Amino acid sequence: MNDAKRDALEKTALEVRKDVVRMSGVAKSHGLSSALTVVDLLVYLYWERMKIFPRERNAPGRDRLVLSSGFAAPALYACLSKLGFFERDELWSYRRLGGMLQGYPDIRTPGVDAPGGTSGLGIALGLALSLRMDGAGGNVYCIIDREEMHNGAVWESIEAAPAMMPLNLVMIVEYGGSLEKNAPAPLSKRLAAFGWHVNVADGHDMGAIEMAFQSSGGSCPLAIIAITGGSREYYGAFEPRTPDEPLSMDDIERTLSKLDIDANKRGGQE
Amino acid sequence: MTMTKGRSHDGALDALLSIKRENPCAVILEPGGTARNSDKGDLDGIRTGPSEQNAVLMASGLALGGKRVFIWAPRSPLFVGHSYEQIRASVAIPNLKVVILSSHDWTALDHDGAVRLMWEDMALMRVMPNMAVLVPSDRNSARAVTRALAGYSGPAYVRLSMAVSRDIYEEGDVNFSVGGARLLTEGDGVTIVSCGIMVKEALEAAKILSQQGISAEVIDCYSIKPFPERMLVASVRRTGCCVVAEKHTNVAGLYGAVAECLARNYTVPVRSVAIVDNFGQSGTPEEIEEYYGLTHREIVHNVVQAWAMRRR
Repeated sequence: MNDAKRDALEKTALEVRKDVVRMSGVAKSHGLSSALTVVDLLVYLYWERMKIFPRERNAPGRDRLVLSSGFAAPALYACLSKLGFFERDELWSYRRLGGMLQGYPDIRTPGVDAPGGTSGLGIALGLALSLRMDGAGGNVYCIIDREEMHNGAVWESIEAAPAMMPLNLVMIVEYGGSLEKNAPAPLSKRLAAFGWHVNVADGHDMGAIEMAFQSSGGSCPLAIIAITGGSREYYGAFEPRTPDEPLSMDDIERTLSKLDIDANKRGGQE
Repeated sequence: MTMTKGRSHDGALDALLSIKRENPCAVILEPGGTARNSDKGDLDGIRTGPSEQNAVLMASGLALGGKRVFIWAPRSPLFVGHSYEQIRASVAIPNLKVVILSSHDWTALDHDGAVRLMWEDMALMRVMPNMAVLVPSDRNSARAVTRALAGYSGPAYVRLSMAVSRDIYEEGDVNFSVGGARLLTEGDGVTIVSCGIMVKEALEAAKILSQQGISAEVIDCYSIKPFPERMLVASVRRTGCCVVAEKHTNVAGLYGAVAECLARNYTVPVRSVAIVDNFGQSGTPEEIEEYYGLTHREIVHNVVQAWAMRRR
């Protein structure tokens, strides 16, 4: 990946991240969860990898995204509005009664390909088989949070998929909260034992993310474990101290300026 | 009335085979172990393996891709219990065209007792918004109901039976729809509402009652949801009392649907022939139906009580 492309993607990611913080603040969310950390993956997929047509939403052969980690919905919405699937103003009524943007992704929202908040790997697998039957092309990308790996239904799908050889399916596990390179080794081994080809990448490095998509394993479906930092540790996001406390306007302001400062620092170093 | 026999399981299977031939968008998923689980014909569906939650999730994905999905789950009485959360979040909330067909009773699993006898399945599916619930009474209605569902706009659950029973309808009768019901006998003494394998018991009860001077209207309420309100209300306006017969607990199944409808529209005494809020036990299907009072004799008994309290 060349530097110009990387810069452009990082700039987009910063804008998306700021919208995520703003909409979470307006919605009085109880924290940013992985909505902040999943952004680089989403931006890479939507701006670099996926074949999508915001003006022709039902185009046959388009790629699909299944965001299994429903709690990361703000990141998905910020991307979709920026791509032109709907007006940016919708972001400010996220999670409001009568608003279009539900707390978890809902297929009635333009650009949302699958319901979120239930183990989405099986949905992605069915969607991949459906696209293969149609023969018009189209890949399915499924983003799952590390926490969802405690859900038995995910493992049912992990076990079932390799036999069906869904070569148009990529599972991306967002391995959040730890930047240690070896942390996901046990998960990586388990996925490989189930017949997946596993690549591990830094989930905040556009170049590394791209590399992870490029090596595949023949007839094995591809799983990418993307290591990401926690929103507090990595982005310095000011998260509420208890789960019941909503983000304050102060938290939002400080997080927004912290994002800008960090981005400038990175830009300055280059 | 014909004297031919069959299983509602086979009627639905017939329909699936023809739907698959005629509709290129139709996809059949066959969860289950490695043994072939379709009793006859070759459905040639997608084998999703023994895991039921994954089967439901895959059905959701296929439906999102524009397919009309049928999950053929014979001998899986626990299917909707195993995968309730997946059915709810990935099928019912997005309102996708996924039909779950489960051959629910008179399987060898009946002998396994309480754990396998999940006779609260109709309630579980009925309380889920968007979900249609259909319980056909013989193989010919099962065939027609399944075919009707091939044109339905949302998710549905079909409870089938492996019991061999006398046909109630002629082969080729297509007068079935989602939300419909059939009036099998007319009368003015009592309305007997039933579904599934209890319809033949209701007809038997009506014969005995006519000898006792009570003329019964028997309604085959194969569509528990959407519920055929108008037919039921019109009937109880004529008869003034009602008995509901189902192989289910007496909570939130057909009895619940009837009681809710009549409480809203026209109150009459309503008695229930069902399993009284209880789990099952091991036994043959015949023994179990006898033990829990799922018989025409029990319907007759309840009719007499309801009739004594009837309105007007």
